[in-house]
Amino acid sequence: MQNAVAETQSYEISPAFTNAIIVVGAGLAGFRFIEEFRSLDSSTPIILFGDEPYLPYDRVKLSAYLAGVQTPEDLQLPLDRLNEDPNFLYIQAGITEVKPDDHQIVDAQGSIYSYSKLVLATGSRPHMPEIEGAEMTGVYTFRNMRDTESLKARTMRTRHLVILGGGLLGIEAARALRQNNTKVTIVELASHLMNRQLDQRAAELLQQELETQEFEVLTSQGISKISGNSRVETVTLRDGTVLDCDTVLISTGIKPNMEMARSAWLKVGRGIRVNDQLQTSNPDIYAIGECAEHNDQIYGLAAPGLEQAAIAAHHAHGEETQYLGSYNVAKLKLADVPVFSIGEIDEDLSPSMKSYCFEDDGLYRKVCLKQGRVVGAVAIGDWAETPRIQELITHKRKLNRWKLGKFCKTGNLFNPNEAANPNLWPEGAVICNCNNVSRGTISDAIELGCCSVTEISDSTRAGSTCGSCKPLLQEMIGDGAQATPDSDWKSLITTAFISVALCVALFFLPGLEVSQSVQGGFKFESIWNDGFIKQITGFTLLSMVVIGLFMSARKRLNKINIGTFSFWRLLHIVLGIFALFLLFAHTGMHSGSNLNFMLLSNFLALSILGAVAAVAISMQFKLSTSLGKRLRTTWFWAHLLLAWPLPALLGFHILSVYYF
Amino acid sequence: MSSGLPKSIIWLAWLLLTAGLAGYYGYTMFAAEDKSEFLVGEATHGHHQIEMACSTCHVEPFGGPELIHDACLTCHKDELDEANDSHPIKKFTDPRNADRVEILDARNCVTCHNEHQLEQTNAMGVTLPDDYCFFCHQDIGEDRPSHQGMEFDTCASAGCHNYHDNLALYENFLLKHQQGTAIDWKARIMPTDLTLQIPTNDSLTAEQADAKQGEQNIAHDWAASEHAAAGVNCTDCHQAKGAEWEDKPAVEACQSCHKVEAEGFLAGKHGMRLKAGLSPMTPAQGRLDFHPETAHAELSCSSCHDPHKPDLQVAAVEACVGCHNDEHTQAYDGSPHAALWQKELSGSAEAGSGVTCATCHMPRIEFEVYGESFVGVQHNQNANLRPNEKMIRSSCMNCHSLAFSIDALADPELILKNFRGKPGAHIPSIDMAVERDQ
Repeated sequence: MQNAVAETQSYEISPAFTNAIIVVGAGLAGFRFIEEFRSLDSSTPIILFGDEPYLPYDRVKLSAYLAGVQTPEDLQLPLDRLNEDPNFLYIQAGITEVKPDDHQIVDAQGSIYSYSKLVLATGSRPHMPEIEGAEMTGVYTFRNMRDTESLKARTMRTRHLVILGGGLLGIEAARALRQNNTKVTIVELASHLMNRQLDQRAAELLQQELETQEFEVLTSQGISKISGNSRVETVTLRDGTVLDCDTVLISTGIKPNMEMARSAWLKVGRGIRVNDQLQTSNPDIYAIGECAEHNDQIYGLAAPGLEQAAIAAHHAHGEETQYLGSYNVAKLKLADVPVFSIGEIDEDLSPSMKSYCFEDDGLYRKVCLKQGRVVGAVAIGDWAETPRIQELITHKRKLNRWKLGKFCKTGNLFNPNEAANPNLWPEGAVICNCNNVSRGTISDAIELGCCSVTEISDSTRAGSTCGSCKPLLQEMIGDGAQATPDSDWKSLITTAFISVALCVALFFLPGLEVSQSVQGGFKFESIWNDGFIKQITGFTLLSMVVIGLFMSARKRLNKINIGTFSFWRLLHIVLGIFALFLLFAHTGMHSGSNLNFMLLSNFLALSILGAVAAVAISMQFKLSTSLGKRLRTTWFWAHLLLAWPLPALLGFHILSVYYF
Repeated sequence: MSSGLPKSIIWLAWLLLTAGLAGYYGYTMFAAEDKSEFLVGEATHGHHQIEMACSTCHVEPFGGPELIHDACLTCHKDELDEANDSHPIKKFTDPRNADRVEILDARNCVTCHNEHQLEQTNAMGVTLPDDYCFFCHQDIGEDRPSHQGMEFDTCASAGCHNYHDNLALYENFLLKHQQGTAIDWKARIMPTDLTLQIPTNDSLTAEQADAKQGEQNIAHDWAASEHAAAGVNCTDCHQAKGAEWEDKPAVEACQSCHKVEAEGFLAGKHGMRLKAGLSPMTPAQGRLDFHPETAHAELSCSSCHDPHKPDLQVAAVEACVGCHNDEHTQAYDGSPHAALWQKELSGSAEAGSGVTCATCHMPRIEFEVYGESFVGVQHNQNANLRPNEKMIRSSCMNCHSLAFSIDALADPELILKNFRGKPGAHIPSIDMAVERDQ
């Protein structure tokens, strides 16, 4: 990192910077506060303090950096952008003293700064359990850039790594550090992994998955002693087992940084106590992020901190705002296993809670309800519906028995097609958890002209933090519906018009007349009027219908993989057109009576609706997303609906020919 | 539509609906009386009355064309025999004609008479173009120089030939009847001789009526009727089947004595529905013009013959025109035939000199029952109607010459005017026969 350690220098504080907004802590929450505040007020000076010897970075991505997936540059927070603002100053120094009465702070260099509002976004540090030998070389924590660099340096030499703490961070680190056949043992104090986010069953599944990936997982277990000769050689577990190891990683939770708050005589509990406006006991001092304690809760995830930052910024600007607490939403991939957790999920903690589970082949989904309203959910494995679940929970929506029953059987609360297409989600559904951006906001941005993920990120901040919602954003703009037409749309539309023309001709043109003479060569009626040839044309028609139905099979049965779906769809339509030509030969354009008339009408109507559906499909990209989708769905279903009588009518048509 | 409903429900609904539809058609096909759902098209004029009695022709399920062909013969074989069929089936089962069968399979009735194809059906229920003779007789001009240049669609239409029935058209017949006056004013209709056919008992009087109920005037009418005279009492018809009294006895009651007549009635368009086990024919179901007020009158023996007051004069004209109202019927009143009938009715001409509807359409012909020959009425009014040359021998030639009859019947305009006027064209068939004979 060529510019990681910034040079130390003393600043001449310009008078403009007196009575500034001072933000202490250059993490995600601090940055978010500044960005949000700047969007409301462009002149008030802002000073940002960061005491880590690195340029401000995104802590959430540390495990990706540890795993070598991302570079330090990827982690950097947009300091450059803020620096363009003359009323902004970034100072790399710790704060040694806060003088709330004078509205002043003193930094490690002894400089004094006066503030109008002080924002504490000091974050937290790892909680270190009292273990004998924990100070030994080879014992690591995983919290900041320094830890990460140390761990990265250690990776090459580690043969056996013991991780104490089977929480989110511990598992992420385990995954990142398991290279070069390093043996990794996860030791968890509680009865199951991630006990704050997962229930017993979900944790079991996660553990199974970790174990198949050859992680060793020990639950209800702890480390009583770390021993070695100058560096770690063994750990002794609570039950006395001794594990040989060369590295120990402690990730047993966080401890808010409260030194500054204490020095300012602010009220603290486990964290810095804040009210619904994120103000500490001193109204000019705010606390946000992991160091803040709101309603006895400390949030250890990024999203709540960002929410708090935004609310605090609005309040500092003078607006009436209220923070009502956040849901603990965890949506991430742990060792390639998608894990989702939100809200209350533990039945043991609230007896009135009812939960509904779906489990199938490694997939696990649970929805928890209180008095019919969704309060929490857990999932192991992919679940496209999670943003909508979030929406259900935030709006305390009710779910009816029908949907819950369906959920227990299929694992889906909503129609699968809908769930897969974020454009069809309710406006309030949250797409970006980190920045709490709803589907409606993103749709508005798209309407206003954003046409790439980057543009959406820039304008709504969705996807700018962890980036896990980028595929959804891609889908929202890319969906094929809006931007790219189906590759074969021209063929679809041409064939559609041909078939409509044929249908209309078959139905409305009068039947062919038979010749009034037996003399003079070939007669066309010898094709449509001859019993034997009628059987040939008839059974050819039947087989065309059957082959055409392979499209349906291709769509619905996963086993059939011959050809692409769009190939089968085009074949379906082309066969339809051939079938209409054959109908000319089979009927001589006579529409028949009774059953035969019904059959012909049904077939023609089916063809016409199929053609309309094809037009709807091919023109979808020219229509608005919702209208296009609605037309496409409606006409497709109309086409499908008209197909139901066909087997019976066709069957009895054939049967009646031989029966009578 | 796509929201919410799980796939399994949709598939189940689809399955149920399909099963429902299949059930409906299955029931109709296999169990229901009314199978009209499966009618592929309107039946011909000859069969539309019985199109709902599928099994009359479609004798067995999956019977195929052979069984249908057999079914044709069930009703039409006797006619073909009587007509001395010019193209009998045996002619085509003969291996020497195999090449002809290749062109047209004349072994099967349905090759030329394809039912339920009304829009393709020509005269006589033929579903081939009118010039079908061309198939085998295209070089007729070489054998018969007189036929050179004639169009093939005139073979059967001009009163010369008929595929099956040439009884009134074959060469010897033409030669034999080349002479004769157009109208024989002395000709008389044969009287029927019912007594030969029906055993009679002592005549009965009104007091002897054995009905336990009923109106007095019915008994009086009956006492004056031929039924009473022949000793046929009330219960003979009304309780013919046994214990139960029937207010309106069915055809079977009449049939027990009037066998030949009933057979004719049941074979013709008036009675064929009854024979097929369907409800009686009504004018509403007919395809000719009828008086609308009689649309729903049901046809049985008693429609024309009041059993308590049998009156052959009523049955001969009034009964017919009571329902029929087409141009030919309407023209009867002003026709020369009707004038003769008026004279007979008024007594100014002798019995048998008038010409009624029945004279031509239900002619008196000789029947043979148990070896005995007697004159009865052919109640199948269709027996001599299609082609109308069939009428020449059974009706026309009673009073008219062959040449006049051929000319008259070949003139559709004249038929519509009920023969008021003269034939519009002369058919040279007799002349050609005579010429060839010389």
